[in-house]
Amino acid sequence: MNLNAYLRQKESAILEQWLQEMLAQYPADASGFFRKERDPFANPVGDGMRKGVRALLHLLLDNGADEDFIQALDSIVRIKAVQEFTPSEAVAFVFLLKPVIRRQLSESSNQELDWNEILLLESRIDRMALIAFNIYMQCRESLYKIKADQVRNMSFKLLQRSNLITELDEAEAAFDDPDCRPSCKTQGGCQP
Amino acid sequence: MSENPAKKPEELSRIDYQPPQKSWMDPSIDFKKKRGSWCYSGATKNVAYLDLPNPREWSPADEDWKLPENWKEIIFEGIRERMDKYRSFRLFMDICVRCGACADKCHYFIGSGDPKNMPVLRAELLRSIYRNDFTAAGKLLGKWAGGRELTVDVLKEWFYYFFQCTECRRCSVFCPYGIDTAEITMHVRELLALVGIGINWILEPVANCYRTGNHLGVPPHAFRDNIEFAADDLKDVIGIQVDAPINKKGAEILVIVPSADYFASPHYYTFLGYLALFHEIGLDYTFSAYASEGGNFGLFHSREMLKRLNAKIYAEAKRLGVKWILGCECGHMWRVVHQYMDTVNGPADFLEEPVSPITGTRFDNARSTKMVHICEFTADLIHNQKIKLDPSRNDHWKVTFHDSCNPARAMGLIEEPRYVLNNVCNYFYEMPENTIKEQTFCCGSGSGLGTDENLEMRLRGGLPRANAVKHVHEKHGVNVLSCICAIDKATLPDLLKYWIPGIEVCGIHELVGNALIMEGEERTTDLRGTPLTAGESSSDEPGEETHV
Ligand code: SF4
Ligand code: SF4
Repeated sequence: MNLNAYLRQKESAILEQWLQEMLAQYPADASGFFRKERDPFANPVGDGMRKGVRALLHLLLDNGADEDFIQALDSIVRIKAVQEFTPSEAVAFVFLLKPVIRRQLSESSNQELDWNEILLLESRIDRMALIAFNIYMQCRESLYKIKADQVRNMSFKLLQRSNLITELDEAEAAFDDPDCRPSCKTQGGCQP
Repeated sequence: MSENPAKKPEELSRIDYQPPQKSWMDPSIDFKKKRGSWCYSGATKNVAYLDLPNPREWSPADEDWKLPENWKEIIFEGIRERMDKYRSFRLFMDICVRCGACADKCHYFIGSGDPKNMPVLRAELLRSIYRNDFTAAGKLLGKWAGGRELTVDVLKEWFYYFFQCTECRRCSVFCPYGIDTAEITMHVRELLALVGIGINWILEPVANCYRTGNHLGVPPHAFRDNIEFAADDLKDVIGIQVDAPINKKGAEILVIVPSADYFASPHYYTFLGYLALFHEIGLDYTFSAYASEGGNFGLFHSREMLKRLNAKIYAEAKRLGVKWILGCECGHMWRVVHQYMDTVNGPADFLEEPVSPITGTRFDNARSTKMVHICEFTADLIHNQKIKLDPSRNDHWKVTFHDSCNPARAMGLIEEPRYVLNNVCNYFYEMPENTIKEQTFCCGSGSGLGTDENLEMRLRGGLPRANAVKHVHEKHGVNVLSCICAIDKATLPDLLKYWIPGIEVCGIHELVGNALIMEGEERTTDLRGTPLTAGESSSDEPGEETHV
């Protein structure tokens, strides 16, 4: 039996253990809930992980395309990127698959497994980790962009507003400009 | 992540990721490490302006919070006072059986996995102090009876976790005893305020409101300008110059909006919707340049502050001599009106029981507060066929509806917004049942927590809501999330930008304004300026999964 076929046979054990390892990153009360609650709307974190790991294992075994990896990784990494994790903790879950697979292999009585295949699979896991890190960075960037936009919009509006409040003549004049509409201003449209 | 030479090669590839399991009784919090999940402290000028205790420069990240010397006494006295005053508070402290029904119902716990965001444990942060110092068992047995000593660290922990509760009341829906953790949060925030602990995102709007009547600090002349601009903007869309009266004495109805409606986006389009509707039905109404805010951030500070800010609405109603009040798309305003107004500032017996001048419908439910929700008002207009609607003008929107916590859970406004939506648009899809109506998930930014320094926490808390939106987006192509709360309109766009980009946020009366067929109108665009394409349609079957 080749590696792929063997791992497919062990799929549910691998997924369960991988998930278990991932959940250990959370305090016990939370990991119990993330594992047990199966309603995807009551438990989006657990659901995202469960679906994510299944998709990722299939992609690994089927040698899936990068876009598909990105989608599957996103469902896990996007959540971790806003939780209380350091960058390494947030992507660590990818590496946790390695010991899980190794354990399965060491339990196997199957002597014919090809080492090259195993090494290749591990390289693919490494590659998956690199993609995960890209996603993590994109998530953090979009978070900072949201923050920056908030501050920018706010200070622009505050400037406008304080002009009004302190009754600066030019500001009043700008507001009296018939071409200058609040719907435009409120969106930061007509910036100087 | 340091390398440990004693580890086996296999272990080296592992990262030591497991959080140290500390007892929940340990209150210590490393604020410096937890950036993104707490809010900045109240600025001295705002604390001083409001005559609140202990105005000073301080930050939650500081070691020394510069508390008054007798802070402990003040807190204990505060607890005692509240125990005497509120029977509910005593009950909430005593009757929780720790059944856990509420534990996994809080959006913050669901999104963060932090056990102290479980409502039962959040409340326990206060209850443990109560037990230690206010019950016989606690006084004798202390820790063994689940009691904890009140320390500065406990106070800091309160600050962290009670400003991580949006007072949304979702947990209380599931509690067999009806314990309302939101009220516990309100009590603790009051206690904290007694020693000068509060957040600026609450105190600044409150101070502004106290000064100018609205959270943004917009003075009367700027208020008038904005309203007039809006009327002009609306004219550009519909070709009709509508009247938008301000401070009109003797008008029949006082209209109260959240200030963001005439100032921020996307609220503004909803405001245009109100103006169009009021014009079309010929409503005799007025805005007030002082009661220029429906929202009441006092609710997130203390009962005293809530009362102070709420009073202006009724004072203005009296001064202007109106018969009753029409309240617009604001969330927590309705909690204040529905649950507290009557006790703190009522009864408003100088006003009349609200009757719609257009349909003659008597709003019995508002008999005491004299304030009608605009969704009730509009639903009644539609029901009595007093307005003409062309829902196909909203065909570019595939709509879902987010029940804002306060209208849904604090006043039971569930069916009216849906009735309106079903009449003003052809494509309305509900999110899953356990995420809407009484069980709705909070936006994650309510109760004064919608500030950018708190963004990570808001995104965690908003995940359950965003996740349900994602579902209807994938299933039905939903592209707009409608809601009837100004905080939602301000914060859901950011939430969606992160979790599921490409979804817009709108108010219900924006959609009403789009669909409304007006006499003498000339329209080529919707209220946002998007061209209306005649006979816009979709291959989807309209109306699937809608509720009337
Ligand atoms: S009121 Fe809302 S935010 Fe507060 S503990 Fe309950 S569910 Fe959580
Ligand atoms: S559901 Fe009510 S009784 Fe049960 S743990 Fe929560 S607050 Fe306590």
